Amino acid sequence: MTSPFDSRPDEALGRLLREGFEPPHHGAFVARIGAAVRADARETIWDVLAAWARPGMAAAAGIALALALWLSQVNSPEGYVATLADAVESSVPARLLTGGADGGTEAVLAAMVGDR
Amino acid sequence: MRNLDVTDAELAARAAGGDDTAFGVLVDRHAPAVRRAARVLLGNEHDADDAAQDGFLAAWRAIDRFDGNRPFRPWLMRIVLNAARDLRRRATVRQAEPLSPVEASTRPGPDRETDRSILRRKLAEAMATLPERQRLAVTMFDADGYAHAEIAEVLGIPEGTVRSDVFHGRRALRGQLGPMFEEMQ
Repeated sequence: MTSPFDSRPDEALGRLLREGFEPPHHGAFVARIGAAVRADARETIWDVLAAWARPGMAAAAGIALALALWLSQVNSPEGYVATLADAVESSVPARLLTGGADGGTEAVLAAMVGDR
Repeated sequence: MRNLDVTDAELAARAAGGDDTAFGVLVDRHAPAVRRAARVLLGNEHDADDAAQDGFLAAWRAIDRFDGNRPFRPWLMRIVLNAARDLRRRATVRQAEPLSPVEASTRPGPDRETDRSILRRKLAEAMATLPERQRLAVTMFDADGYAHAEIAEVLGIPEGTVRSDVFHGRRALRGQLGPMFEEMQ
């Protein structure tokens, strides 16, 4: 018999404890943990991707929307003509030719003597 | 890979690199002890396995933080017992079953196997009367061969306290098992 004071394991009590608390179905349990670990690994990868995906998708959607709006403005004939007309109307030569309220004479003289 | 040739530290290092097969070897190696300890703590086989699974998953997620210069099994056991305590705290544990994994035969007579079954049942009843720390200390020391220092690390208590727990636990168990246990040896 092993003394309770003994610092070595009590063989008889240990054997009885192992028998009494023998975990059943060892192989099934190991397989269960293996499946859980693999599922956890997959979940982790998808979590990372999802974390990237949410702001990434939002930014990409914003950019795509802005690009689409800009392209639709530029590519449509009406939009192009309107943009061009705005640019022409606001130019100095145009104002001179149309004799606008800006004082065409002063502008022409200023252009002629400007560099002297 | 011949599993017996590979140390826990080597397997843990491989697992930290994402090798789930290496982690599987660790599970295979340590599952009996950690499931037994969880069972002794919770008193219920199903909860014990749930806690062991939670603990193994927590260990898998934290394996890159494991210090390979330290022993693996106290690190793992501590994680599993924490998972078991968490499970108990969440109050989702099932009603504790009487700790009698092997049913005693009802056949009368001096049959040795029947005596052993009775003895196991008495052991389960005796274990249920011990304080939790003594139950764990005796189980880890006598059944699973943990050193006093390892148990001290797992339970977060001084080594001398572990020795005392093992001593008192053994004495109580032997006292409750009675002469039948001595005769069986």
